[in-house]
Amino acid sequence: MAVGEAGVVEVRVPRELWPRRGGWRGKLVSVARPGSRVEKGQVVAEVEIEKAVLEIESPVEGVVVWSLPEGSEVEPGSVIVRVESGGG
Amino acid sequence: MAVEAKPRLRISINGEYLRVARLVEGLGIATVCESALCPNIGECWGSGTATFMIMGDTCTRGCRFCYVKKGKPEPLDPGEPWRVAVAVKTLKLDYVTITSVDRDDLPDGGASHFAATVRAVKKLNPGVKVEALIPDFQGVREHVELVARSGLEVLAHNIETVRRLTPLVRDRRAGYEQSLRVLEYAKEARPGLVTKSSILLGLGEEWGEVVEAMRDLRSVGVDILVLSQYLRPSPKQLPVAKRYKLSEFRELAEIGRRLGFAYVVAHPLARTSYKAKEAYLAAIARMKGGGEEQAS
Repeated sequence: MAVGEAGVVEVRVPRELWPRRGGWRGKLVSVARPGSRVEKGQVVAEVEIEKAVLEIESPVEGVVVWSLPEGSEVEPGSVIVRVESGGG
Repeated sequence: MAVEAKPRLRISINGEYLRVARLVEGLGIATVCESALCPNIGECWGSGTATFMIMGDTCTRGCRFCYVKKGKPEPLDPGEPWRVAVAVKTLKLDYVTITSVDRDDLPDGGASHFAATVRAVKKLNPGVKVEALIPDFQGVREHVELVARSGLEVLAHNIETVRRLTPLVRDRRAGYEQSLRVLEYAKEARPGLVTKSSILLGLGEEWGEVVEAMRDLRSVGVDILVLSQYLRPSPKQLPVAKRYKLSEFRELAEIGRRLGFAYVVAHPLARTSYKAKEAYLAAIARMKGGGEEQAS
């Protein structure tokens, strides 16, 4: 997670997952749409990799203000959702 | 392959996870959790444990199910045993699994380094239980014995697949019989030693071949059996031929218990080191005759 513009939190494909073993890729198979209200810990995106489907949580409560289109190719560090913290 | 068929992993990176990540990176110790894209990394690191992979992160073999880097490894680091010991102490582990890459480039396959690591961990952490998941050391008895007699509690070596598929799945230098001999040599070196082996399911084996592999493992005295679902790490590895149902895992576990394994771990996401302490404790309780029957 990273805070971009004031109050907006970026949800990324975690770089910390298998941190020293890069090279894996995935496809965004579902994602919370802009305007959706999300709770802290709620799954906001699903990324399909070869081994599994990764369920990625929102680190904050708020409103989704931007999300990457479903079907996008992603890798560790890719921003997939932006959540306006506490917004709505 | 349908998305629904793949396991779903809830990704939650907590403080404990980050502490483990910083520690292993800081000490320069590889982990199989990262190298093999283990699906259980979140659960294990998140609860403050990891499986260390010694002798570098590059394997001299090219097994076709495995995601660990292949190539020419770096020279051995003589300071590594002590750093692993420090990691165990820092994480306050009372049970640790140590594995390694294959090192066919070394005269003893790395057996003396492996044994030195077990001894260093034991020296710095009195009372810790150590499980070593070893390579086959090309089937050289003396090298297996060196590790088996290094003071560890559990020696694991994975047969990985059934006899027929071994040439397809594993590197040509590996062998089904050779792996059985490794497990046999370990047991003969220290009769009280707990031995363990894993079979990956879903590579194209028949049910009867799995049962045959289980019988073969029992014939060389293996105590703990791990059955898990093969998950293809990347398009470069073998495709998944079948995804087993939980009911099939339960059925195979029951067959394993009837064959006499002291403990059977059977689950799609089970891996050799997953909940290794629990498997060890249950197995020794059963072997001493005081254990409960394992629930299915």
